[in-house]
Amino acid sequence: MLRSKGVMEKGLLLLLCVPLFTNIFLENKVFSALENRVLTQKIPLSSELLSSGVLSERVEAFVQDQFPFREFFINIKSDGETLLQKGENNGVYLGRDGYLFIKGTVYDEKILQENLEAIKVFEESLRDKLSILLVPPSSLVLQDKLPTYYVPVLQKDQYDHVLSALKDTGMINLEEVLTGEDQQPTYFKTDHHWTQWGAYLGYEALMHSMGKEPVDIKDYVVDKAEDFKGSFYAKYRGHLLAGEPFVYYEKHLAQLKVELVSENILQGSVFFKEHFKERDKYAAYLNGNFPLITLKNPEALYKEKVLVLKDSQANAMAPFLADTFQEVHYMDLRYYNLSLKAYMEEEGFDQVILLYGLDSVGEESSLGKLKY
Amino acid sequence: MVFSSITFLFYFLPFTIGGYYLLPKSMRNGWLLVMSLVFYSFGEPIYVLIMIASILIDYTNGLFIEKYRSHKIYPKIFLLLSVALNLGLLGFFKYGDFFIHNVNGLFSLNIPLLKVSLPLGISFFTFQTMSYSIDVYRGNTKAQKNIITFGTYVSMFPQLIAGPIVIYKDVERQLMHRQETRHNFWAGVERFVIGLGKKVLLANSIGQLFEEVKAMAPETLTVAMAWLGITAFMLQIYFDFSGYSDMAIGLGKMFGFEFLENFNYPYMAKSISEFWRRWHMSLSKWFRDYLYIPLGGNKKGRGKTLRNIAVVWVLTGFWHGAAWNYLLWGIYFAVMLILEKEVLMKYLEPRGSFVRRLYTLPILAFSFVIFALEDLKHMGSYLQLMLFQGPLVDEAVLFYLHRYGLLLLLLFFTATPYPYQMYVKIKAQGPLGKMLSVATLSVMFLLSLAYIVDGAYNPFLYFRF
Repeated sequence: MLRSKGVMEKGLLLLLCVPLFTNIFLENKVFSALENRVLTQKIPLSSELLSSGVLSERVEAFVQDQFPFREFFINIKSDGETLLQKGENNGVYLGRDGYLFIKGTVYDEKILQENLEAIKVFEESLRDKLSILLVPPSSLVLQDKLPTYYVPVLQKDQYDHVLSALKDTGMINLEEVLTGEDQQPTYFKTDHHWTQWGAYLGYEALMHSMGKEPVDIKDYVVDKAEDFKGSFYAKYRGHLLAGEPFVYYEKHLAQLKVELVSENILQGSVFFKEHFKERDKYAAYLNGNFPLITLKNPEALYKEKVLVLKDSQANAMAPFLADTFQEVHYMDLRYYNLSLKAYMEEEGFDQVILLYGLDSVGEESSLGKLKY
Repeated sequence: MVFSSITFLFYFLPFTIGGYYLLPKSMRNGWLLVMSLVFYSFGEPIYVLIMIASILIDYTNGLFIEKYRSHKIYPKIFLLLSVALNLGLLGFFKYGDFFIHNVNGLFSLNIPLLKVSLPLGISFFTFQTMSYSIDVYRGNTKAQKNIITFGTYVSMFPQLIAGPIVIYKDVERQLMHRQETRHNFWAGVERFVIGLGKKVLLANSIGQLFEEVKAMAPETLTVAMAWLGITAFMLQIYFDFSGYSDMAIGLGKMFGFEFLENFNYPYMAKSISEFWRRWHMSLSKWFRDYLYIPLGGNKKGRGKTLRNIAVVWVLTGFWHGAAWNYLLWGIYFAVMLILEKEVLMKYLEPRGSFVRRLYTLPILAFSFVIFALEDLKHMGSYLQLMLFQGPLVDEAVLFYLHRYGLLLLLLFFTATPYPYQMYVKIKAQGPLGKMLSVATLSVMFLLSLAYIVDGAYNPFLYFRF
């Protein structure tokens, strides 16, 4: 018979039962803001679950997600990796000055080819009306912030491949535009997006290629929100890694009207500042991602109507485009399920801008909807 | 269910231990049997029937072999039945598709594949039950009359899915009269935590390095990268497998069992034959006792000895998986062992430990390339790189060395007996030493937990066995 007289021994055994009790008596957590995903929940036992042999995986996912002090443990792991000098956690590298970089994935050959083909065909039907900007991953641009000895071969190859495939489309080479910039950070340290400063450089290049005058960023007021921990941080994590200031440039546009699909919101700015209180501060631009957003600014520099086909990278450019064009429509093909062609014919745009992160071209199948 | 999971650590294990010690002694084997079947069916809901059938059949075989002991033919028939059934199970589930695939290729046939998944731990429990029938036949042990006791032996969850292979006669007494003590229980907890740390903190961490090297196309690799990669794999598989054995032995202790050791610092070996006396010892012992010695061992002249070595090692290789690389792996060891025995030993014997390890480790490194890379073409190019056929170094090697250097040093040190010796010495230094050891184990456990909760990388290498 096991006689554990020692208080410590009994205590240790009881500690082992803590997760069991918390799972039975406490309510499940539903959402993890940091990871931006719904946590695994209890589900009723079904015969399908039993026979398919996935029961154990499902249960393990549940007890892992609902483990008491889960975030604390996850941060401990990340700190361990940092102390071991591994400089990597969950596919994100730690570079110099607190910059994080995504390891990057090998693009799906089929998706990549289809997307490139779709873009080329799309360009042939629009010609000079179309501008293409693809935001390269930060590891291509911030060479001096990369981890020691790290050469992002994969990402360089993939970017160059896309660039050469689209060389006849007049694609603006953002790698060239952004590289060497040292006045202001062009990318966030902890997030996969470019900063508004980076987006401004892209905007300038775009205006030049269109033969138009860019608005001057000096007319904008600089402000910041504190302690931004972006998507890279959510993967890397740890107590040892600090947040960064979220710097933004704002100009009051008195007549600007922003429409988010059905909701009709009038305001003088593209910023939805309530997001500065949340983890995902980047969602302050245009309130995040919507199938369709239209900005109307009668006081804009050019009386033109522009369509931006985009992913979230385009949002940081919104403050400048709103100031430049009388009407800008942002369409996110991941969520917009009606006919693009019908919409374009109905609206009759003067300019079309294709603005995506490079990874979307290699991984996002919704680009197949590019049809005109 | 793997040991390094929240489900096991915080639900299955406390429940099983709690039930075990609340029940009277007479019911404890029954409880272990039931919980083992629960453990097994959690990952393999249907295959648990194979396990139950295997228990019933070998139980009956054992009884009949003993009952008709004086008869001339019956015991042989029942032994054959047991061996045929166990090998049949293995053959069907593990090797069936491999043979069909190769026969199809050889004769351009189109026999459909079986496409059955491999029942967990089948390589282990079939070897255990075979050893039981053989030992009963040889009269080395009595047949087990109590089916619950026998079922407990076959299905016991601590060693069910990744060994060690426990021989029935080694635990026969413990199955029926074991004395659980508080001291042994905590010794078991200690051993388990050490094993968990080896698996989760050490093996998984270094495993990522080899995963990355393996994913790179061989044309892009350099000589240094190939050696770095396979070093990482050697460390990964050692800490993973020996960590798993530690956990099994520790769990056994918690329930009053003493299993034999399975690893003894294999990378300290000074020859290939010594390596196999230190690596997966329960498997080498099984092959020695139930194959090598029955074949005549080294007592029937030089020719037969060499043949026996060859047979045993080809089969040892094939036991590890139904693929050509495992067969090649066995053949490689057969050749190296014969070469060592016949030629090299006389040059090695007079040398010091350092030189002898310098000879042993690279030979092992090549063997693990064969083991780790199932794709023969990939394996070929990798081996060429290991033989300095290619560019020597590039920046990528520096990058990985920079990131994994500290971990590698830590693992080199931990693969020697010194850290554990230090731990034991500190523990013996009175109450303070004891507190230090408890603190060390607690930190190890919490760290392991942090890695498990993050759940990003927790592979299990032995589902193929």
